[in-house]
Amino acid sequence: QADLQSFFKSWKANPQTDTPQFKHTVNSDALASAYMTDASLAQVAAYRELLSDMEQGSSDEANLLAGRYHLVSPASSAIVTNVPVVEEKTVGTAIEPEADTWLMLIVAFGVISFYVYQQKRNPRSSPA
Amino acid sequence: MTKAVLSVYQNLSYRWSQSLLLIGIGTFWPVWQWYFDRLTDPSDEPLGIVAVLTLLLLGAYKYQQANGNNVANLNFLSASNLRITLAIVAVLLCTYCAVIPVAPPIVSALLALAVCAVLLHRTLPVSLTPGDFALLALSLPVVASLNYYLGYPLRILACQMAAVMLNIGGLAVNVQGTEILSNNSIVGIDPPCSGIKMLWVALYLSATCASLRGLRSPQTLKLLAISLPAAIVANALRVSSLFYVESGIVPVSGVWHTLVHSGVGVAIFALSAAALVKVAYMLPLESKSSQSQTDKNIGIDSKANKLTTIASGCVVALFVFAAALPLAVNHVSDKISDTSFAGWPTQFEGQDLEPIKLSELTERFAKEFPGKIAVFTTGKSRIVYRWVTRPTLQLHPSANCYKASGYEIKWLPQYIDGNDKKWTAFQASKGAEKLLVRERIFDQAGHNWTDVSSWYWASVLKQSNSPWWAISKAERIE
Repeated sequence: QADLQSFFKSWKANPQTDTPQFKHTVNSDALASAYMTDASLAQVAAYRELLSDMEQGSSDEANLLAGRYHLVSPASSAIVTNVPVVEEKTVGTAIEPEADTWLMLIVAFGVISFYVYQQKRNPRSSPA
Repeated sequence: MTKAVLSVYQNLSYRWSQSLLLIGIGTFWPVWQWYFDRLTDPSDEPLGIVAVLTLLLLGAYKYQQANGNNVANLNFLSASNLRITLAIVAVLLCTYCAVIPVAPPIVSALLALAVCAVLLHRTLPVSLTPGDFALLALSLPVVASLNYYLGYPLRILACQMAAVMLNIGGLAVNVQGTEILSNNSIVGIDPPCSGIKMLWVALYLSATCASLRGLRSPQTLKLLAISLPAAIVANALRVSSLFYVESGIVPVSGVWHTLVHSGVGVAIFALSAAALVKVAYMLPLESKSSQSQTDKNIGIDSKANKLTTIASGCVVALFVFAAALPLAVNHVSDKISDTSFAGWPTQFEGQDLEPIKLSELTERFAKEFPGKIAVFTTGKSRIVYRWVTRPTLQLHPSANCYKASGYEIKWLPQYIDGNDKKWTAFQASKGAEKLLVRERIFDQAGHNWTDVSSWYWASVLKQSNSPWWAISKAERIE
């Protein structure tokens, strides 16, 4: 683990050849200022860091690492190396906002109209 | 009781109710002013107008139906005793007078609408049902309040329920706050995914069905209560369905991505809407009190008439008092002592901050704001700082300000900065102008929130102490 950390600390590859993915420059942790062009290697290092954090009971740090490097906690699974390219400095993805209110209102009108129509057609029996 | 005497009483009752309604409309002038401003506020969708229009349409529909079926259409003939109406109006007016100096405008507006609805119930040619009362309540600008108070709890619920659904579906996922962690990705349930819009439309649907069917109070309350879990489950189902797309398990790209998102949301809402309407049509209709029962209630004699006249006079006096009260009472000042204010920062992310003079509108808002507001520039971006010492609805998301200024909002995934602080992010577009805006709330102990609802609950649950800072950064991207 220490070797990997020092490896990443000392490894300052040519930024011009770096791809934008995983180009995080975090100043405060053990992986500071490492330009990581290989997502898999970055994940290996991050996963070790995550294990260390979990051993020390620092689950917040572990979750942050998991989020940043697309890892899961040891309780569920192993590292997944085939990760999608993510935008720089975003945390994973987000579920899209709810459907447009107007669309939902149109649906609501449609459903009510259907029931009213059914009631008119067959007033004695409920469409339900 | 002869028909002639009943007719005289009913005419008297009708005229009294009409007069009181007109007085009431005049009395609540500050409420109508606020109500109109909020209905036409571009920062919010005009859902209140939809509720009002629905109420009018339903009224017209019911009036037509009543005429067609040759049903007695003069509701006041079968309405309850005038003295009961006067008592209800008096209680509501006293509450209005008591709360107006301290309560938020939405509470005063709700009371004013309730008074007018009770009087309308006696004067309109068609009955107002509990469903109509619910629609009137929904015509108030409740979405902002729902977002503030319920946004975060609903996101937590949606997240937990979606995780259970995904686990049942054979997907191993973990939940961390409002994020779902899967094999190779984290999917966040951001504030726009809370399900508040779905909840509003579900409540609206239930109120409309209750009004259409003429459901009585217990059934209407049951239906409205069912709307809440129905909306929560529907949103959880939407989140769990879209998780497959967002996490890449079901690859969807290009134009299909947007279509699938909207389609899934609408389809799931349609299912819950159909279920709600089905429940509404399954609820039994209770028989209304018969005309003879009402007649029995209208026991009139000269003594009772005198009592009614005195009660009406008291209610008119209360109306006059309620009308004058807003002029006489100063609202409790929200301004707070700034002894704990340590001053504005001079730098943001290593860049010097230069103060900008507040615009006239912001200046007006700042006067009512229970804290402090300052705007700065770094040369490339505009930074707005807000400082508050207590939870307040006035610390609204900056997306509302951009919407009010005519910007179109596109929500982006959460942003994490170099200090591992999370920010909520969105793109605001107007014409050719595109801004990237990010925002967060934090306290001095290092706690950080990306939306007002989670911050509100953290402060209520004493997980964080005042003062709090909200910071939003806007930079032009095109």
